[in-house]
Amino acid sequence: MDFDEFTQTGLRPLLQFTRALTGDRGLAEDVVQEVLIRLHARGDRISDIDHLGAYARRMAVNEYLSWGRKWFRQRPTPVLPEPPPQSDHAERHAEHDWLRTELAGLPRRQRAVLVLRYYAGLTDAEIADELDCSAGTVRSHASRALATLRVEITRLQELPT
Amino acid sequence: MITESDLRAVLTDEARDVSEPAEILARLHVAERQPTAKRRWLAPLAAAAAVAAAVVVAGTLVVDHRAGHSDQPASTRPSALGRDLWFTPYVHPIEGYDVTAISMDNSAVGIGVRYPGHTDSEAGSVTAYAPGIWDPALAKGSERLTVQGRPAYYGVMNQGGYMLPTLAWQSGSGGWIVIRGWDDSAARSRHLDPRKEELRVAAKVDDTAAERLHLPFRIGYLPAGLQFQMVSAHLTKPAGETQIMFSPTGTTHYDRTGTLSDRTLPPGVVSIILLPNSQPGQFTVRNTKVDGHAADFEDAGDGQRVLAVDVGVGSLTLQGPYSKAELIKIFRSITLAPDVDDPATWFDATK
Repeated sequence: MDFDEFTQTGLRPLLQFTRALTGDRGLAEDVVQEVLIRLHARGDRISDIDHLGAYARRMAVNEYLSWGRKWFRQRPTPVLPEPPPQSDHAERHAEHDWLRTELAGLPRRQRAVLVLRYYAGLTDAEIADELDCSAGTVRSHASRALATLRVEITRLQELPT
Repeated sequence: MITESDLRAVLTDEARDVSEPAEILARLHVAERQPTAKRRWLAPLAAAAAVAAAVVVAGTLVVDHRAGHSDQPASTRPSALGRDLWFTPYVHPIEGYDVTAISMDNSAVGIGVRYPGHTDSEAGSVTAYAPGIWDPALAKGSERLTVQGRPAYYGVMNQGGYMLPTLAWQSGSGGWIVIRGWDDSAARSRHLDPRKEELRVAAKVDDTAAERLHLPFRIGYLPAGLQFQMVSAHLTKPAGETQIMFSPTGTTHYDRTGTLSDRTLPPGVVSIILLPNSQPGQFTVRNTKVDGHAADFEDAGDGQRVLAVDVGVGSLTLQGPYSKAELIKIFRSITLAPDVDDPATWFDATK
Protein backbone atom coordinates (compact mmCIF):
# COMPACT_ATOMS: atom_id res chain seq x y z
CA MET A 1 0.00 0.00 0.00
CA ASP A 2 1.42 3.41 -0.93
CA PHE A 3 0.73 6.76 0.71
CA ASP A 4 -2.16 7.70 -1.60
CA GLU A 5 -3.87 4.36 -1.11
CA PHE A 6 -3.51 4.74 2.63
CA THR A 7 -5.12 8.18 2.62
CA GLN A 8 -8.06 6.78 0.65
CA THR A 9 -8.77 3.78 2.82
CA GLY A 10 -6.89 4.17 6.06
CA LEU A 11 -7.21 7.83 6.92
CA ARG A 12 -10.78 7.84 8.20
CA PRO A 13 -10.25 4.89 10.59
CA LEU A 14 -7.05 6.53 11.80
CA LEU A 15 -8.85 9.82 12.38
CA GLN A 16 -11.62 8.05 14.28
CA PHE A 17 -9.21 6.07 16.41
CA THR A 18 -7.18 9.18 17.21
CA ARG A 19 -10.33 11.13 18.05
CA ALA A 20 -11.26 8.45 20.59
CA LEU A 21 -7.68 8.34 21.81
CA THR A 22 -7.32 12.05 22.42
CA GLY A 23 -10.88 12.99 23.31
CA ASP A 24 -10.28 16.19 21.40
CA ARG A 25 -11.10 16.81 17.76
CA GLY A 26 -8.48 19.47 17.17
CA LEU A 27 -5.73 17.54 18.87
CA ALA A 28 -6.71 14.42 16.96
CA GLU A 29 -6.33 16.28 13.67
CA ASP A 30 -2.96 17.65 14.71
CA VAL A 31 -1.76 14.19 15.70
CA VAL A 32 -3.02 12.62 12.48
CA GLN A 33 -1.44 15.31 10.37
CA GLU A 34 1.85 14.73 12.13
CA VAL A 35 1.54 11.04 11.34
CA LEU A 36 0.75 11.76 7.69
CA ILE A 37 3.76 14.00 7.32
CA ARG A 38 6.01 11.38 8.83
CA LEU A 39 4.56 8.66 6.66
CA HIS A 40 4.93 10.77 3.56
CA ALA A 41 8.50 11.55 4.48
CA ARG A 42 9.22 7.84 4.27
CA GLY A 43 8.41 8.01 0.56
CA ASP A 44 8.32 4.73 -1.29
CA ARG A 45 9.52 2.86 1.78
CA ILE A 46 6.05 2.83 3.31
CA SER A 47 5.07 0.15 0.81
CA ASP A 48 7.48 -2.10 2.72
CA ILE A 49 5.46 -1.70 5.92
CA ASP A 50 3.15 -4.58 6.77
CA HIS A 51 -0.21 -3.58 8.21
CA LEU A 52 0.21 0.10 7.49
CA GLY A 53 -2.99 0.94 9.36
CA ALA A 54 -1.67 -0.59 12.57
CA TYR A 55 1.68 1.08 12.00
CA ALA A 56 0.02 4.47 11.62
CA ARG A 57 -2.11 3.82 14.70
CA ARG A 58 1.02 3.10 16.68
CA MET A 59 2.57 6.33 15.44
CA ALA A 60 -0.56 8.18 16.55
CA VAL A 61 -0.39 6.63 20.03
CA ASN A 62 3.27 7.58 20.39
CA GLU A 63 2.58 11.07 19.17
CA TYR A 64 -0.31 11.44 21.62
CA LEU A 65 1.74 10.16 24.54
CA SER A 66 4.55 12.60 23.80
CA TRP A 67 2.26 15.55 23.16
CA GLY A 68 2.44 16.73 26.78
CA ARG A 69 6.06 17.62 26.27
CA LYS A 70 5.17 19.98 23.46
CA TRP A 71 3.81 23.45 23.28
CA PHE A 72 0.60 22.62 24.96
CA ARG A 73 -0.08 23.31 28.56
CA GLN A 74 -1.47 20.68 30.82
CA ARG A 75 -4.43 21.59 32.85
CA PRO A 76 -6.53 19.61 35.31
CA THR A 77 -9.87 18.25 34.29
CA PRO A 78 -12.61 20.35 32.70
CA VAL A 79 -15.92 21.50 34.08
CA LEU A 80 -17.72 19.26 36.56
CA PRO A 81 -20.89 17.95 34.97
CA GLU A 82 -24.28 18.48 36.54
CA PRO A 83 -25.83 15.65 38.57
CA PRO A 84 -27.76 13.29 36.30
CA PRO A 85 -31.50 13.68 35.80
CA GLN A 86 -33.84 10.90 36.90
CA SER A 87 -35.22 9.35 33.74
CA ASP A 88 -33.45 6.26 32.41
CA HIS A 89 -32.57 7.82 29.07
CA ALA A 90 -31.45 11.07 30.60
CA GLU A 91 -29.55 9.24 33.29
CA ARG A 92 -27.69 7.18 30.72
CA HIS A 93 -26.92 10.36 28.78
CA ALA A 94 -25.62 11.98 31.95
CA GLU A 95 -23.54 8.92 32.77
CA HIS A 96 -21.94 9.07 29.35
CA ASP A 97 -21.19 12.75 29.78
CA TRP A 98 -19.70 11.95 33.12
CA LEU A 99 -17.65 9.17 31.62
CA ARG A 100 -16.31 11.48 28.93
CA THR A 101 -15.22 13.94 31.58
CA GLU A 102 -13.54 11.28 33.66
CA LEU A 103 -11.84 9.81 30.62
CA ALA A 104 -10.47 13.25 29.82
CA GLY A 105 -8.94 13.39 33.28
CA LEU A 106 -7.11 10.07 33.05
CA PRO A 107 -3.34 10.00 32.58
CA ARG A 108 -2.65 9.60 28.87
CA ARG A 109 -1.13 6.16 29.11
CA GLN A 110 -4.16 4.87 31.01
CA ARG A 111 -6.51 6.38 28.47
CA ALA A 112 -4.47 4.92 25.63
CA VAL A 113 -4.78 1.46 27.18
CA LEU A 114 -8.56 1.79 27.48
CA VAL A 115 -8.93 3.04 23.91
CA LEU A 116 -6.74 0.30 22.50
CA ARG A 117 -8.65 -2.32 24.49
CA TYR A 118 -12.25 -1.13 24.23
CA TYR A 119 -12.23 0.83 20.96
CA ALA A 120 -9.54 -0.83 18.87
CA GLY A 121 -10.27 -4.28 20.34
CA LEU A 122 -6.65 -5.22 20.97
CA THR A 123 -5.64 -7.87 23.44
CA ASP A 124 -3.45 -6.93 26.39
CA ALA A 125 -0.51 -8.62 24.70
CA GLU A 126 -1.08 -6.59 21.54
CA ILE A 127 -1.41 -3.41 23.57
CA ALA A 128 1.81 -4.24 25.38
CA ASP A 129 3.52 -4.56 22.02
CA GLU A 130 2.03 -1.29 20.86
CA LEU A 131 3.09 0.60 23.98
CA ASP A 132 6.40 -1.20 24.31
CA CYS A 133 5.71 -2.46 27.82
CA SER A 134 4.69 -5.72 29.48
CA ALA A 135 1.18 -7.16 29.48
CA GLY A 136 1.25 -6.82 33.27
CA THR A 137 1.83 -3.11 32.95
CA VAL A 138 -1.07 -2.89 30.52
CA ARG A 139 -3.36 -4.67 32.99
CA SER A 140 -2.14 -2.39 35.75
CA HIS A 141 -2.95 0.73 33.68
CA ALA A 142 -6.34 -0.68 32.73
CA SER A 143 -7.14 -1.67 36.26
CA ARG A 144 -6.24 1.73 37.66
CA ALA A 145 -8.17 3.54 34.95
CA LEU A 146 -11.27 1.42 35.45
CA ALA A 147 -10.98 1.84 39.21
CA THR A 148 -10.82 5.58 38.77
CA LEU A 149 -13.93 5.52 36.64
CA ARG A 150 -15.73 3.37 39.21
CA VAL A 151 -14.73 5.74 42.00
CA GLU A 152 -16.21 8.58 40.04
CA ILE A 153 -19.36 6.56 39.45
CA THR A 154 -19.74 6.15 43.19
CA ARG A 155 -19.22 9.86 43.67
CA LEU A 156 -21.78 10.57 40.98
CA GLN A 157 -24.38 8.46 42.74
CA GLU A 158 -23.69 10.24 46.00
CA LEU A 159 -24.39 13.66 44.54
CA PRO A 160 -27.70 15.19 45.63
CA THR A 161 -30.38 15.15 42.96
CA MET B 1 -23.90 1.75 36.89
CA ILE B 2 -21.40 2.30 34.13
CA THR B 3 -20.32 -0.82 32.29
CA GLU B 4 -17.70 -1.70 29.72
CA SER B 5 -20.33 -1.40 27.01
CA ASP B 6 -20.91 2.20 28.14
CA LEU B 7 -17.20 2.78 27.79
CA ARG B 8 -17.23 1.30 24.29
CA ALA B 9 -20.27 3.40 23.39
CA VAL B 10 -18.66 6.62 24.58
CA LEU B 11 -15.43 5.95 22.73
CA THR B 12 -17.29 4.98 19.55
CA ASP B 13 -19.42 8.08 19.86
CA GLU B 14 -16.34 10.27 20.20
CA ALA B 15 -14.75 8.57 17.22
CA ARG B 16 -17.65 9.62 15.02
CA ASP B 17 -16.89 13.29 15.65
CA VAL B 18 -14.18 13.77 13.06
CA SER B 19 -13.57 15.94 10.04
CA GLU B 20 -13.77 14.51 6.56
CA PRO B 21 -10.41 12.99 5.59
CA ALA B 22 -10.46 15.14 2.46
CA GLU B 23 -10.43 18.24 4.65
CA ILE B 24 -7.36 17.01 6.48
CA LEU B 25 -5.59 16.26 3.23
CA ALA B 26 -6.57 19.59 1.74
CA ARG B 27 -4.72 21.33 4.51
CA LEU B 28 -1.57 19.43 3.78
CA HIS B 29 0.42 20.44 0.82
CA VAL B 30 1.87 17.03 0.52
CA ALA B 31 2.97 17.33 -3.06
CA GLU B 32 5.47 20.04 -2.20
CA ARG B 33 7.14 18.11 0.58
CA GLN B 34 10.61 16.76 0.23
CA PRO B 35 10.72 13.10 1.14
CA THR B 36 13.40 13.59 3.76
CA ALA B 37 12.24 16.90 5.17
CA LYS B 38 10.89 16.69 8.69
CA ARG B 39 8.37 19.40 9.33
CA ARG B 40 6.04 20.33 12.09
CA TRP B 41 3.29 22.85 12.07
CA LEU B 42 0.44 24.36 13.94
CA ALA B 43 -3.11 24.52 12.71
CA PRO B 44 -3.18 27.47 10.34
CA LEU B 45 -5.58 29.68 12.15
CA ALA B 46 -4.34 28.72 15.56
CA ALA B 47 -0.89 29.49 14.33
CA ALA B 48 -1.27 33.20 14.73
CA ALA B 49 -2.30 32.83 18.31
CA ALA B 50 0.17 30.17 19.24
CA VAL B 51 3.13 31.03 17.14
CA ALA B 52 3.13 34.62 16.48
CA ALA B 53 5.49 37.17 16.85
CA ALA B 54 7.94 39.98 15.87
CA VAL B 55 10.57 41.43 17.93
CA VAL B 56 10.16 45.00 18.88
CA VAL B 57 12.44 46.99 16.72
CA ALA B 58 14.69 49.45 18.44
CA GLY B 59 14.33 52.94 17.14
CA THR B 60 10.70 52.75 16.13
CA LEU B 61 8.27 55.37 17.29
CA VAL B 62 6.73 54.34 20.59
CA VAL B 63 3.00 54.86 20.80
CA ASP B 64 0.42 53.74 23.33
CA HIS B 65 -2.83 53.63 21.40
CA ARG B 66 -4.89 53.60 24.57
CA ALA B 67 -3.01 56.04 26.78
CA GLY B 68 -1.51 58.38 24.22
CA HIS B 69 2.06 58.86 23.22
CA SER B 70 4.87 57.67 25.39
CA ASP B 71 8.37 58.98 25.76
CA GLN B 72 9.80 55.60 26.64
CA PRO B 73 12.12 53.92 24.17
CA ALA B 74 11.22 50.58 22.72
CA SER B 75 12.93 47.64 24.32
CA THR B 76 14.77 45.21 22.11
CA ARG B 77 14.26 42.28 24.45
CA PRO B 78 11.56 41.67 27.02
CA SER B 79 12.78 41.04 30.51
CA ALA B 80 12.20 37.94 32.61
CA LEU B 81 9.39 39.33 34.69
CA GLY B 82 7.25 40.34 31.75
CA ARG B 83 8.37 43.91 31.90
CA ASP B 84 9.32 45.87 28.81
CA LEU B 85 6.92 43.95 26.61
CA TRP B 86 6.28 46.11 23.59
CA PHE B 87 5.02 44.82 20.32
CA THR B 88 4.96 45.80 16.67
CA PRO B 89 2.88 46.02 14.56
CA TYR B 90 -0.27 47.65 15.79
CA VAL B 91 -3.47 46.79 13.92
CA HIS B 92 -5.97 49.63 13.88
CA PRO B 93 -9.70 48.81 14.10
CA ILE B 94 -11.02 47.14 10.94
CA GLU B 95 -14.64 47.49 9.92
CA GLY B 96 -16.35 44.12 10.11
CA TYR B 97 -13.71 42.51 12.29
CA ASP B 98 -12.42 42.43 15.84
CA VAL B 99 -8.71 42.53 16.51
CA THR B 100 -8.79 40.17 19.43
CA ALA B 101 -5.60 38.48 20.44
CA ILE B 102 -1.85 38.69 20.38
CA SER B 103 0.86 36.13 20.77
CA MET B 104 4.52 37.03 20.75
CA ASP B 105 7.93 35.60 21.36
CA ASN B 106 11.39 36.88 20.62
CA SER B 107 11.08 36.18 16.90
CA ALA B 108 7.56 37.10 15.90
CA VAL B 109 4.33 38.83 16.86
CA GLY B 110 1.00 37.42 15.74
CA ILE B 111 -2.31 39.21 15.97
CA GLY B 112 -5.63 37.46 15.53
CA VAL B 113 -8.47 38.95 13.49
CA ARG B 114 -11.97 37.61 14.12
CA TYR B 115 -15.43 38.16 12.84
CA PRO B 116 -17.44 40.29 15.29
CA GLY B 117 -18.94 38.66 18.32
CA HIS B 118 -16.23 36.08 18.85
CA THR B 119 -18.64 33.40 17.73
CA ASP B 120 -16.65 32.23 14.77
CA SER B 121 -13.18 30.90 14.49
CA GLU B 122 -10.39 33.27 13.68
CA ALA B 123 -10.86 34.86 10.25
CA GLY B 124 -7.17 35.38 9.80
CA SER B 125 -4.00 36.66 11.31
CA VAL B 126 -1.28 39.24 10.94
CA THR B 127 2.18 37.96 11.79
CA ALA B 128 5.31 40.06 11.81
CA TYR B 129 8.48 38.03 11.64
CA ALA B 130 11.92 39.19 12.62
CA PRO B 131 14.38 39.39 9.72
CA GLY B 132 15.56 36.06 8.40
CA ILE B 133 12.63 33.92 9.48
CA TRP B 134 9.92 34.02 6.82
CA ASP B 135 11.38 33.12 3.45
CA PRO B 136 10.19 35.39 0.60
CA ALA B 137 10.98 32.59 -1.83
CA LEU B 138 7.62 31.16 -0.75
CA ALA B 139 6.03 34.00 -2.72
CA LYS B 140 7.60 32.89 -5.99
CA GLY B 141 5.06 33.13 -8.77
CA SER B 142 2.65 35.21 -6.67
CA GLU B 143 0.91 38.35 -7.77
CA ARG B 144 2.97 41.49 -7.21
CA LEU B 145 1.26 44.52 -5.75
CA THR B 146 1.91 47.39 -3.37
CA VAL B 147 1.03 47.65 0.32
CA GLN B 148 1.69 50.90 2.12
CA GLY B 149 4.02 51.93 -0.64
CA ARG B 150 6.10 48.76 -0.37
CA PRO B 151 6.35 45.85 -2.79
CA ALA B 152 4.08 43.03 -1.68
CA TYR B 153 3.03 39.57 -2.80
CA TYR B 154 -0.34 37.90 -2.82
CA GLY B 155 -0.96 34.25 -3.50
CA VAL B 156 -1.63 30.88 -1.98
CA MET B 157 1.47 30.14 0.06
CA ASN B 158 2.73 27.37 2.27
CA GLN B 159 2.64 27.66 6.03
CA GLY B 160 3.90 24.53 7.66
CA GLY B 161 2.22 22.33 5.10
CA TYR B 162 -0.98 24.31 4.80
CA MET B 163 -1.65 26.26 1.65
CA LEU B 164 -3.31 29.53 2.60
CA PRO B 165 -4.25 32.77 0.87
CA THR B 166 -1.35 34.99 1.92
CA LEU B 167 -0.40 38.63 1.58
CA ALA B 168 3.19 39.50 2.53
CA TRP B 169 5.35 42.57 2.45
CA GLN B 170 8.67 43.59 3.94
CA SER B 171 8.55 45.91 6.90
CA GLY B 172 10.96 48.73 7.59
CA SER B 173 12.87 46.48 9.98
CA GLY B 174 13.71 44.03 7.21
CA GLY B 175 11.40 41.35 8.53
CA TRP B 176 8.19 40.30 6.78
CA ILE B 177 4.61 41.01 7.70
CA VAL B 178 2.38 38.15 6.61
CA ILE B 179 -1.41 38.12 6.56
CA ARG B 180 -3.09 34.73 6.19
CA GLY B 181 -6.51 33.20 6.51
CA TRP B 182 -9.98 33.76 5.05
CA ASP B 183 -9.91 30.18 3.96
CA ASP B 184 -12.47 28.54 6.23
CA SER B 185 -16.15 27.78 5.97
CA ALA B 186 -17.05 31.02 7.74
CA ALA B 187 -15.25 33.03 5.05
CA ARG B 188 -16.85 30.99 2.29
CA SER B 189 -20.34 31.35 3.74
CA ARG B 190 -19.82 35.11 3.81
CA HIS B 191 -18.61 35.01 0.19
CA LEU B 192 -15.44 36.83 1.19
CA ASP B 193 -12.62 37.31 -1.26
CA PRO B 194 -9.41 36.51 0.68
CA ARG B 195 -7.34 38.91 -1.43
CA LYS B 196 -9.72 41.78 -0.85
CA GLU B 197 -10.03 41.09 2.88
CA GLU B 198 -6.30 40.73 3.41
CA LEU B 199 -5.66 44.01 1.60
CA ARG B 200 -8.28 45.66 3.83
CA VAL B 201 -6.49 44.36 6.91
CA ALA B 202 -3.08 45.34 5.52
CA ALA B 203 -4.23 48.93 5.23
CA LYS B 204 -4.75 48.96 8.98
CA VAL B 205 -1.37 47.52 9.92
CA ASP B 206 1.02 50.02 11.44
CA ASP B 207 4.57 48.75 11.71
CA THR B 208 6.08 52.11 12.55
CA ALA B 209 4.97 52.10 16.18
CA ALA B 210 5.70 49.92 19.17
CA GLU B 211 2.64 49.16 21.24
CA ARG B 212 2.45 48.44 24.95
CA LEU B 213 1.35 44.96 25.91
CA HIS B 214 -1.12 44.77 28.77
CA LEU B 215 -1.52 41.70 30.95
CA PRO B 216 -4.11 40.75 33.58
CA PHE B 217 -1.44 39.98 36.14
CA ARG B 218 1.96 41.03 37.37
CA ILE B 219 4.61 38.57 38.43
CA GLY B 220 6.89 39.58 41.28
CA TYR B 221 9.06 36.51 41.50
CA LEU B 222 10.49 33.87 39.21
CA PRO B 223 13.29 31.37 39.83
CA ALA B 224 16.68 32.64 38.70
CA GLY B 225 17.94 32.16 35.18
CA LEU B 226 14.67 32.42 33.29
CA GLN B 227 13.99 34.59 30.28
CA PHE B 228 10.82 35.56 28.52
CA GLN B 229 9.76 32.80 26.10
CA MET B 230 6.33 33.70 24.81
CA VAL B 231 3.07 35.32 25.77
CA SER B 232 -0.45 35.12 24.41
CA ALA B 233 -3.16 37.49 25.55
CA HIS B 234 -6.42 38.98 24.43
CA LEU B 235 -6.94 42.56 23.40
CA THR B 236 -10.70 42.80 23.84
CA LYS B 237 -13.36 42.04 26.44
CA PRO B 238 -14.17 39.32 27.46
CA ALA B 239 -10.51 38.53 27.54
CA GLY B 240 -10.29 34.77 27.70
CA GLU B 241 -7.10 33.03 28.59
CA THR B 242 -3.70 34.64 29.09
CA GLN B 243 -0.52 32.60 29.06
CA ILE B 244 3.08 33.61 29.57
CA MET B 245 6.08 31.31 29.48
CA PHE B 246 9.66 31.65 30.57
CA SER B 247 12.63 29.40 29.89
CA PRO B 248 16.38 29.37 30.38
CA THR B 249 17.02 30.27 26.74
CA GLY B 250 13.92 32.17 25.68
CA THR B 251 14.46 31.00 22.14
CA THR B 252 12.02 29.58 19.63
CA HIS B 253 12.77 28.06 16.26
CA TYR B 254 10.77 28.63 13.10
CA ASP B 255 10.99 27.00 9.73
CA ARG B 256 11.14 29.01 6.52
CA THR B 257 7.35 29.11 6.26
CA GLY B 258 7.09 30.88 9.61
CA THR B 259 5.95 27.85 11.55
CA LEU B 260 7.40 26.73 14.82
CA SER B 261 9.80 24.00 13.77
CA ASP B 262 10.01 22.44 17.20
CA ARG B 263 7.20 22.59 19.68
CA THR B 264 9.00 20.52 22.25
CA LEU B 265 9.12 22.34 25.54
CA PRO B 266 12.61 23.54 26.35
CA PRO B 267 13.90 22.14 29.62
CA GLY B 268 13.05 24.28 32.61
CA VAL B 269 10.16 26.11 31.00
CA VAL B 270 7.68 27.81 33.34
CA SER B 271 4.13 28.49 32.22
CA ILE B 272 1.59 30.73 33.93
CA ILE B 273 -2.01 30.70 32.71
CA LEU B 274 -4.88 32.84 33.90
CA LEU B 275 -8.34 31.62 32.91
CA PRO B 276 -11.17 33.97 33.96
CA ASN B 277 -14.39 32.48 35.26
CA SER B 278 -16.14 33.68 32.11
CA GLN B 279 -14.34 30.93 30.21
CA PRO B 280 -15.03 27.19 30.22
CA GLY B 281 -12.39 24.73 31.28
CA GLN B 282 -11.92 25.57 34.96
CA PHE B 283 -10.20 22.83 36.90
CA THR B 284 -12.30 20.64 39.14
CA VAL B 285 -9.79 18.56 41.05
CA ARG B 286 -9.15 20.19 44.42
CA ASN B 287 -6.64 18.33 46.53
CA THR B 288 -4.96 21.13 48.46
CA LYS B 289 -5.28 24.72 49.58
CA VAL B 290 -3.01 27.69 49.03
CA ASP B 291 -3.57 30.66 51.32
CA GLY B 292 -7.17 29.57 51.76
CA HIS B 293 -7.77 29.15 48.01
CA ALA B 294 -8.90 25.77 46.72
CA ALA B 295 -6.12 24.33 44.60
CA ASP B 296 -4.86 21.28 42.77
CA PHE B 297 -1.25 20.15 42.78
CA GLU B 298 -0.16 17.37 40.46
CA ASP B 299 2.94 15.78 39.09
CA ALA B 300 2.51 16.05 35.33
CA GLY B 301 5.40 13.74 34.52
CA ASP B 302 8.77 14.50 32.95
CA GLY B 303 9.66 16.49 36.06
CA GLN B 304 6.86 18.98 35.44
CA ARG B 305 4.52 19.92 38.27
CA VAL B 306 1.27 21.79 38.01
CA LEU B 307 -0.35 24.02 40.60
CA ALA B 308 -3.83 25.29 39.77
CA VAL B 309 -5.38 27.76 42.18
CA ASP B 310 -8.94 29.05 42.27
CA VAL B 311 -8.40 32.77 42.73
CA GLY B 312 -12.08 33.66 42.88
CA VAL B 313 -12.24 35.50 39.55
CA GLY B 314 -10.79 32.54 37.72
CA SER B 315 -7.96 30.07 37.95
CA LEU B 316 -4.22 30.56 37.89
CA THR B 317 -2.28 27.56 36.67
CA LEU B 318 1.47 27.41 37.14
CA GLN B 319 3.55 24.68 35.55
CA GLY B 320 7.25 24.08 35.76
CA PRO B 321 10.00 21.77 36.95
CA TYR B 322 9.79 23.08 40.48
CA SER B 323 8.66 21.97 43.90
CA LYS B 324 5.22 22.77 45.24
CA ALA B 325 6.80 25.32 47.58
CA GLU B 326 8.51 27.10 44.69
CA LEU B 327 5.34 27.18 42.60
CA ILE B 328 3.48 28.59 45.60
CA LYS B 329 6.19 31.25 45.96
CA ILE B 330 5.60 32.30 42.33
CA PHE B 331 1.85 32.24 42.89
CA ARG B 332 2.12 34.49 45.95
CA SER B 333 4.11 37.03 43.96
CA ILE B 334 1.34 37.45 41.37
CA THR B 335 -0.97 40.45 41.52
CA LEU B 336 -4.21 40.36 39.53
CA ALA B 337 -5.65 43.28 37.59
CA PRO B 338 -8.94 44.79 38.85
CA ASP B 339 -10.95 42.99 36.13
CA VAL B 340 -9.29 39.96 34.57
CA ASP B 341 -11.91 40.00 31.81
CA ASP B 342 -11.33 43.60 30.79
CA PRO B 343 -7.99 44.50 29.18
CA ALA B 344 -8.73 48.18 29.82
CA THR B 345 -7.93 47.52 33.48
CA TRP B 346 -4.81 45.45 32.96
CA PHE B 347 -1.21 46.15 33.88
CA ASP B 348 1.11 47.79 31.44
CA ALA B 349 3.72 45.09 30.82
CA THR B 350 6.27 47.67 29.70
CA LYS B 351 6.62 49.07 33.19
